[in-house]
Amino acid sequence: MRMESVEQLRRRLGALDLFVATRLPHDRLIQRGLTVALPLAGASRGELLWGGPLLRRAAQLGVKTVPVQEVDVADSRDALFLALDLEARAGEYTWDEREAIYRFALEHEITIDTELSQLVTGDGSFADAMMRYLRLAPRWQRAVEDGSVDIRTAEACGSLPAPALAEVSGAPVQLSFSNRRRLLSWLTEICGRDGLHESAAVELARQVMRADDPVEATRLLRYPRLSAMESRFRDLERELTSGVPLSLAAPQGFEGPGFEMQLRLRSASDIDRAIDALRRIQDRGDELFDLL
Amino acid sequence: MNSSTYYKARLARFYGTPDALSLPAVERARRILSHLEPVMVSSADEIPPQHRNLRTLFVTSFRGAPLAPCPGTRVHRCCNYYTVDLYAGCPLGCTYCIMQSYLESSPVTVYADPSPAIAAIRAQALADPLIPLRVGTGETGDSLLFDPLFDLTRRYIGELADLPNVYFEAKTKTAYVDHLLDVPQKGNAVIGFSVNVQQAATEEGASAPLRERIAAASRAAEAGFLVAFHFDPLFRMAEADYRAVAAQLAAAVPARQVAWVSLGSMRYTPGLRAHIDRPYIHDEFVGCADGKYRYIQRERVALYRAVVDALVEHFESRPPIYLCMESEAVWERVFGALPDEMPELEALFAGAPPRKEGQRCGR
Repeated sequence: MRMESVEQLRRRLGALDLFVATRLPHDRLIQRGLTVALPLAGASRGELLWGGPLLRRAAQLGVKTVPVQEVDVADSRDALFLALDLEARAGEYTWDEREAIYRFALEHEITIDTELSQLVTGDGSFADAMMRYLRLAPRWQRAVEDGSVDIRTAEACGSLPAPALAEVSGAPVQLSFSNRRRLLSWLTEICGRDGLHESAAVELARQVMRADDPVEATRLLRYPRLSAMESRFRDLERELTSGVPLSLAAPQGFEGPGFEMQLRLRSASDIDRAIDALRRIQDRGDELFDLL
Repeated sequence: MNSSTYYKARLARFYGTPDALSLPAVERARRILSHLEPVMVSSADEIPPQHRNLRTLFVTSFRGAPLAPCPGTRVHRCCNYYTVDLYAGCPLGCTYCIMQSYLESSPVTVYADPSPAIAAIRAQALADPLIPLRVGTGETGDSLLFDPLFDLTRRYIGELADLPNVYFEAKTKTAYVDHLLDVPQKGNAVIGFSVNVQQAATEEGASAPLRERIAAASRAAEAGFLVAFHFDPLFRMAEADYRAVAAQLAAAVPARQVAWVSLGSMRYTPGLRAHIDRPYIHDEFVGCADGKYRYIQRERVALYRAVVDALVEHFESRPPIYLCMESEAVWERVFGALPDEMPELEALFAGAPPRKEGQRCGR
């Protein structure tokens, strides 16, 4: 191990300068030279195999030298594995970093096998996920990169015009990750179903994001018949059980054999009122069972 | 398109295991597919990844369970159907096909030695000779799309014809029945046709047009086969047009030769959903107990009732009609009864051997 000039080392950064979110040591440690030795490929042109972010930070801090160590690497795959071992952020790389790793592997004809995938994503999904990511339009890649949607939502919503996505992303109301996913999926489906062009899609997005509950507002538009059935059921339930210690529940999505009824009896008069309510339900049973 | 033209246009590669390449069915196919030189491999895993698609034919002798209960669907009513794998993978390209979600990157696999499956069917049928055994080859692929090449269905039909309790069904969306019409002993063999309205033709890829399927059904019936019809998947937007299809079927095939009619509505798993980018997917579907998505229950009940009514109206006598992968709630709303309470379905539903714990069907 020896100390080497930061300025000279920066000129020796090569194609393996792939990382932007490296976990750096504390500035005080960098200033005192107490950092891991940066690997210099001894057998080739002395290319620096890892440590770009550390070097850049050292330069910002006015540090003149950092420790380095010459290492032997057999080939590009060996060099990439060394860089990934030193970076040690499996499963935590940004999408930009993953893309850089992926492109490095392709350019250097490195097989993306399970071993490499484990070092990048912590599982076997690296190649498949990258291919899916690279198929996305840039606006959806940005949405995946900033964590506002997952890759599956981005794929499903790919046809949603960019300005409509911007209406959702830029709205003041904060949506949870899962609600944003549901809302975007439904918006995309409504646009597909109704053949909405960009301006109409933007207006739709604007309209739902102004609602008190944007997710529910979108759901009503996506499922108008189901929503009407839910509304009808609520009305019936209110009419039939109002003031009675009885509750009526419909199966989820009106998918199922029947309704569930619950009685809470605290006195004999509760029984009378419940019997009256049951008679009303019996009289209007057709309206109720028409929903199933 | 006739079958030979179809194969020449559609098949680009031919792989096979050594034990399969000398089987009579494969030798027959090789003569017809003279433009393709078979490549020997020890298993499908040896086929290069870029060739693992539906333009590749892979023939092998039988492997795996020879006879299995239809996977059915958990929770919902099962129709007591057994399946054997004959042709796995289907290039017809129906937009709603569940196989898109798991067989897309596999070759069309032909299990070219039917002996183990025939033996298993015979053993089960002889073990309970009074119990009808329905078994078909259309679970993982079209039963007849490649059958003119291999002529394997003929062996099943011929070697099961002496068993009065076996209803062997070849289910298809093609009109490729002519190679089977001269089978001398047909027994209770059933040629099943998936049918749909003409508007759905764009969803069924290279499947035969409805009129050709109906004409094929008519030829099969005239030749002495039992015929089945499968309205699956029913699309809600075409409810009225299914009446016309029912009338066409009734005009083409006498009711006495209709073994059964099944009805199933459009449904999808979350995995399949990602593969479907068609207008019908924007309808309103709800999650069901088996994890699949179907039309709102009351809407599919209305759809089923309309088709059942049309079938009953047009056929001179009511054929056995059942629902595929549906809940008891839907059965009761459509028929006012469960299948084991309907005399015409007793043979299909009530008589089958009991399923052992751990078997796949959800009944």
